[in-house]
Amino acid sequence: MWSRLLAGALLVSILFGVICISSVQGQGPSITFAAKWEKDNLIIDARIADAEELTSATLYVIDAKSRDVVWTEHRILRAREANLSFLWPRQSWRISNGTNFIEPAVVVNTIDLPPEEAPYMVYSAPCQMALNQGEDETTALAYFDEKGRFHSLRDLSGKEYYRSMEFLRSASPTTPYGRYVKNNITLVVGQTALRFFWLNLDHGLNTFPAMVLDRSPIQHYTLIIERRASGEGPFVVEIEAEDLAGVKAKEFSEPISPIRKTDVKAS
Amino acid sequence: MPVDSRAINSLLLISVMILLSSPAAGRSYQITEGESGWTTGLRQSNNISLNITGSAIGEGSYQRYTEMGILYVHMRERIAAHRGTLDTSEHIHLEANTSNDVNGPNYGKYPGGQIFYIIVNESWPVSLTASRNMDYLGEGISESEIFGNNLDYVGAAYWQAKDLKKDRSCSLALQNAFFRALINDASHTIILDEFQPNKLTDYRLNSRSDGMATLRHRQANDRVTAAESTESYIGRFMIKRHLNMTNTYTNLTRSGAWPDCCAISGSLPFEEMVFSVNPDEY
Repeated sequence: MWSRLLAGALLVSILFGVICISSVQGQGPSITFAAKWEKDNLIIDARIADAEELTSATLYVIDAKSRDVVWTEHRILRAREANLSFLWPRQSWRISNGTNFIEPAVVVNTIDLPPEEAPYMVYSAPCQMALNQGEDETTALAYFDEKGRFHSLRDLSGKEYYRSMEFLRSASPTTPYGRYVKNNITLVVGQTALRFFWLNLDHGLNTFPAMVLDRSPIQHYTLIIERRASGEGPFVVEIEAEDLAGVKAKEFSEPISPIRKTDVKAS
Repeated sequence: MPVDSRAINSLLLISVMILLSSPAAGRSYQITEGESGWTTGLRQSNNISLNITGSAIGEGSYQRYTEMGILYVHMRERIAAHRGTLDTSEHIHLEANTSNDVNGPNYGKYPGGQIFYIIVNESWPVSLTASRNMDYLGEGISESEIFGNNLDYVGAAYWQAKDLKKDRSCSLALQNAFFRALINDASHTIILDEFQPNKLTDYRLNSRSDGMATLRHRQANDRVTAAESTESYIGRFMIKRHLNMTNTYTNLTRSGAWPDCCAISGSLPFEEMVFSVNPDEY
């Protein structure tokens, strides 16, 4: 239950928070951070403090040229002060269904999940789901494991539309997957389409073209998330924090360019 | 008038082999001229209705062997899937009936020569529809299928594909078949060998695969190949194919096809012959 609430809260945060970037000033969390390159990794050390208890902190990495958000990481906080260290591997997320791909997609690490579900729900990607062509869309979260394989699809109320064979086997070892597919999975192969999100500082939250799920659930619909090397930059780091009263604050870095290998040799 | 010894020594045998076992019947019409001859092949009448509906989803290995058909309307399928995940569903419907029986056969010899004829009009309709959706990921799958319809065929094969998504449907129909042969008993030659089935083959394929894929088809006109193709794909391909082959034939020799203008007696001036009918030979 907590995981769904948190995931929903994060989605709402993405939907409404980042669009209003730079619009919240004054009282609320105070954020200071420093970023430095270590090879291809950008290490961000942040200190966040608030008079109220902090509830969450979110890292956004933004391509300064396209102003697309290429990386997101979410943390849960339960204190008035927090020293956080983020690592951005200079990568962005691509989502592919085996035929088409989209990038950079909004993909977020999940937090605070039950241990039996956590291995199958390491990352989540918000999307708009239409079960059949022409039907109304529902906001949902697609969940992926550490290797990027698709394991679950749930709407914001927690209703599950798909669960992978591995996930089912873990939760209910005696249930045959064929029977589960027949009785529980409502996605329609060749019909159900997902529209994933991309985020831009100027254009806000947008959806990519629809991706049709045309493979079997036993093949995880061949839907995967992949890490792709980001471009040359420069990049802007943004950290957003929220306290118990719902007050948000954001802090941006100056554009940061990766260290080129030739630069390293020259030094 | 000298007698041609070859004509005396040669044996002209026109036979109709009948396999009678209720409710099915099998008939083979053939003319033997020494070591050569002409035949319709075995034609069987049957009242058949077959429905197969099924699906499977799971992890492991899978093998499949399918052979079915009647009156040369047939499907053949082989699948060998090594360890992997597979989701497959299918529907097959085969139906044949003997509501219209054979018209004929007509045998005879044209007057004034040694030219014999045989005409068979067969109206034993057959319908075969087969659809399969298959989705495989694993160590490798080899899969081959072919659909034949009285000298026409179409099929596809996939070899050593680790990733195969395939949706296929095929509809085969045979309405009737018309055979006609003219044989010169003096020169031991088959003057005319005509085979005109009214048939339809409609094949739809939508696949995505790696490994090797081969598609082939043949369409016959009479007994001669009118069109054929073979194509191979090695690598990762999406293949979409819709192939429709029809062969419609109007039998102008049947009664009613010609206006009644000249015949006085109503019967054509053929010399009647005696034919052997040997049901025990089959």
